[in-house]
Amino acid sequence: MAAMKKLERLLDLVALLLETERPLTRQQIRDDLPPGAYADDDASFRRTFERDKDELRDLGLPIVLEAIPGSDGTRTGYRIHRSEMEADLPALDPAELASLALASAMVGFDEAAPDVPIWMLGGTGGVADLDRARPMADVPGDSVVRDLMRAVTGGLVVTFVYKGERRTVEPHRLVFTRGHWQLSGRDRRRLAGRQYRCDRFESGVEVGGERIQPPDAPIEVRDDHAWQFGDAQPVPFRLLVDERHVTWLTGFLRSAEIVERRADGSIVVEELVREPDAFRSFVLTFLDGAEVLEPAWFREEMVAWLEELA
Amino acid sequence: MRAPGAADRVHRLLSLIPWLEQNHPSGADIVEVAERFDYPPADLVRDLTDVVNFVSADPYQSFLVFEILVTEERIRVDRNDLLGKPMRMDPADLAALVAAGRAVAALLDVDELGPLERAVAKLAGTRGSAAEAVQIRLSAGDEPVLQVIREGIGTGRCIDIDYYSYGRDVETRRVVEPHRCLYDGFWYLMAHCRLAEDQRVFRLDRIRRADLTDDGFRPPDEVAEAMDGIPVDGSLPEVTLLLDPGVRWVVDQYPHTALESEPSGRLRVTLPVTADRWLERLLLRLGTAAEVVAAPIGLGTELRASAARRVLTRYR
Repeated sequence: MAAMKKLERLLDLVALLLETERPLTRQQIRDDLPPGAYADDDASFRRTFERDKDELRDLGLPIVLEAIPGSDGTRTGYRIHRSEMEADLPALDPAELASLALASAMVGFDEAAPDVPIWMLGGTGGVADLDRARPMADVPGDSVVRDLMRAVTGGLVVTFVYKGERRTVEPHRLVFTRGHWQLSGRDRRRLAGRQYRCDRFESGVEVGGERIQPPDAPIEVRDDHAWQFGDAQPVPFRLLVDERHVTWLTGFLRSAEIVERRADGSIVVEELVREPDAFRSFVLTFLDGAEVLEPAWFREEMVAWLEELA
Repeated sequence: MRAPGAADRVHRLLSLIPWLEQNHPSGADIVEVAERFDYPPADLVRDLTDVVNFVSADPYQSFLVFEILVTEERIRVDRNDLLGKPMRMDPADLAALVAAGRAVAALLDVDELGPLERAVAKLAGTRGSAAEAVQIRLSAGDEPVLQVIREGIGTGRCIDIDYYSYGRDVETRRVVEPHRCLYDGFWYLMAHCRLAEDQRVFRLDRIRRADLTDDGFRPPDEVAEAMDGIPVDGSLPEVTLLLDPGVRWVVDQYPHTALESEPSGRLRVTLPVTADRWLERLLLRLGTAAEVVAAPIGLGTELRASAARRVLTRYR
């Protein structure tokens, strides 16, 4: 059976690369595996070996290509360093594993995103049939997210196109919040902290080889509202909101201060605004259920905006 | 249990063998091990017996690196000359697992937390876990309502809610039979609504009050896996807008049935209209950055104008 033969070949290959004391050339690998492991013709051997190597690397097996000692760097070979392969993971008891397995199943990554192999920690802790555990939250993940995850955990500098510009960023945090992945880090051109929404990347992510030190004061991903971004000086705005919107609004704004509660159940909130246009867009979602009170100039702008449409 | 492919099986075996050797030196039940490692039992027995026991690091198979004893019910590692410890986990996978664990832990009651919290703390303390680097934030102030709903789902009891309908801009009181909670940028409740006498989806941040009742219900045999999207099959009325490039977000945010770029750089988009109030909001927010080029009677510029006049009454 082809699948059995492949399993046999892959395990023999792992054993060979782990046990060897010197890097092995492709031809040495071919000679050292049991007869019949690879096809006799060179082209098909090469193809199959490359595929095996890629598949094992994808699984996290650290197959490295190194100069063969004594060859003055002219010949290279493959091996696996045991210290790079073995885990230093904590022992989890069955209850811990089971709860972690369920949590992992509840947060359902899209198929392109990491398939977290819970059994690498010692199995699922006995939660039967995790395949049927229904995700509670769908966390979208594509190759951009996958690459950023690798970059942010490995401290690797990334390059991508965002808002029509090529950015080089030292990544600090990758956070799924309000239904979107956000990357924060230090923009190398601006020499300043920035935040990027990952579904708005205009290119794939190039993960470079340059490694950064873990930042002392990492740039955190902010959950701010659209009107709180930007470099403008924040200005306090006051909004009167009808009773039926109060629960939602106070939950949504969080940081806003309730400065007045009126007898009819309506409230006045004060919110700091840097981007008035974004705040106008937000206020209009309440239709006639809310009204800007202050600042006066913004109230006048609201009136002018509506009069143009009326 | 799905049958893993060859590479996947290699991965599992490289974790399973040292785990078994370290944790169960006198052997373990085959079915339990298979379940733990998500490995079909018959495949596991066959792979261990026919393949793993013949793995060798030399071409003549003179030195076999494993000796696994497989009986009818149990497996035991008698020799493992290859693997000292289980395989290292990809740091990105580890970070994703910690993030998922933390995200779910943030939603649980304190008394449910124990093992999950311990597991996350142990993993986050691992070297190289980059524990803070990847985060999943699912909680957004909805936890009190979510707790009530989870209790309703768990105990099969109805929930009495005050719900603000965004599309119709009205609040109603309803009794619902809760079936499932889902997060998709916001938390949603899929339920049978006794007021509408039909299945409905409720956004949790629009539930102003939620109280558990003593009224029980029979959980349905099947609950939909996902929420129905807005139909784009022409069954809803549609409006066509010309959008300035600066308001392209409309296209990203709302389902549409047609989209074209104009030579002027503007976008011609056709949107299904789920409710008049929804369209009013959109048109008021877009202002003159959107031009209505086609709409059924009552859903075009006149709808925008009447909504603007209504909002203006608050300012006069």
